[in-house]
Amino acid sequence: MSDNNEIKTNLFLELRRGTITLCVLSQLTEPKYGYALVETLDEKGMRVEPGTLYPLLRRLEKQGLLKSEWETTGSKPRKYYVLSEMGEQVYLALTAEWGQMRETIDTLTNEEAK
Amino acid sequence: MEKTSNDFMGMVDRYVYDVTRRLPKAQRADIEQELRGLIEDMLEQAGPTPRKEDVEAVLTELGRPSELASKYRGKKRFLIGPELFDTYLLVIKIVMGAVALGITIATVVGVIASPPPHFWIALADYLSTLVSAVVQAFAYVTIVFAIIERFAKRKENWKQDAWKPVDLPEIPKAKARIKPSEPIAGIVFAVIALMVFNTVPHLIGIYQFSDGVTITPVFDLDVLRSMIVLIDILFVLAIVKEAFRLVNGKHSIMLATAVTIINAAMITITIAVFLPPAIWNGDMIAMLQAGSDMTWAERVDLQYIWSIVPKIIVGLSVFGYVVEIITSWVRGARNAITG
Repeated sequence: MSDNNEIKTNLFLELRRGTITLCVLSQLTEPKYGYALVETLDEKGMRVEPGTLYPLLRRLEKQGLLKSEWETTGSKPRKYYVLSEMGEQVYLALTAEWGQMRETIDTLTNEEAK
Repeated sequence: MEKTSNDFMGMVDRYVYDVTRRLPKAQRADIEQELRGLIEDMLEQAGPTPRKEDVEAVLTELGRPSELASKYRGKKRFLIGPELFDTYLLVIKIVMGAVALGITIATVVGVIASPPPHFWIALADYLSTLVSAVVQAFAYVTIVFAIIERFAKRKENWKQDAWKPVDLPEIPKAKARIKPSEPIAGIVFAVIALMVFNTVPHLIGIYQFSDGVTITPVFDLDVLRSMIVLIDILFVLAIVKEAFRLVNGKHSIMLATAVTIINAAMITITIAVFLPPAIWNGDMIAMLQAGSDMTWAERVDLQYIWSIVPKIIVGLSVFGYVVEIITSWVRGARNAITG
């Protein structure tokens, strides 16, 4: 039984993994710092561990999808991330792909339900 | 005592340190600052004045420092990656087996030559030599593979074009195939020779079994020692050649080219090391007949024979190398034409 649960958890994680990037990109048309992004995503129903999100932001920056800047005027220094030009293009392509995928999967899963 | 807030805030310092020390220096300061900001934000969420439990909860949520650091690093790190691992296992088995066999043979020969006074001490000696030699072999093979992983593989990724089914290698015809047993035997032999030449060269000699055993070394040990680097290169080349055969698995033009280059080097070294009379034991005949009753005439004859032996040995080896080059080209070419 617990085995069954473990398999399920792993499959959920796998399913989510690919979509996190899309969610993150979607929220970064305006500059945000890491923890604010965690909270926004959480409010909208996408729970992402900070320990996953922070390294992800760095990776996306390294790939050139995000730009970052340290903001030191506030009470404590924060690193703000925002989509780069390339990031905007990639985000559009990803949303299009996601739309198609959702349609396909809807068709497939509804078929099964019948 | 003022131990309240600083004490568990120290835990944050320790956490941040434990994450960042595993990261490349260039990124450390930046990640540290960001991570501290994150932890503060998470603590604020818990309440205006964080308690010890809050700190613990936040750090637990962030997870094991080594795991967080590896997420920051991104790619997985190997000493020897999955592509090389099978070859690594094969080679390490062969080399360790050859080393163990070599030590055992050398010990047995040594025991026959001069029976040790204390059996148990001899056995302990044998075992400790065996263990240290096998461990060394393991270390050397691992180091070589780690170097290949680091440098050679990166290069390969570089030149990697899109894979096409056309690139699939032909299944070698039975004739073109090289049985793995041949190169493995070659490697075992070369490793044993390498060890004998480096550790017990005095045992390479002529054995006389009259009242006990006397060994007359074939080589002049001092000269041999001064040339040991060249001799080692010779055997390493032989091992590399056999490894090529083992990995390729079939005769080909490429293999023939490799054999030609390696054998040319081996011919050069063989002539340079073994043709000059200095490396051969000049007192051999005198030592041999110390106990025997040979006539003066027989002695002169033997002396003459011994003086031409090096030429014969070098001549035969060079002949062998050349024949090997020719056959590898003939087989490689035949396979290229029919295959």
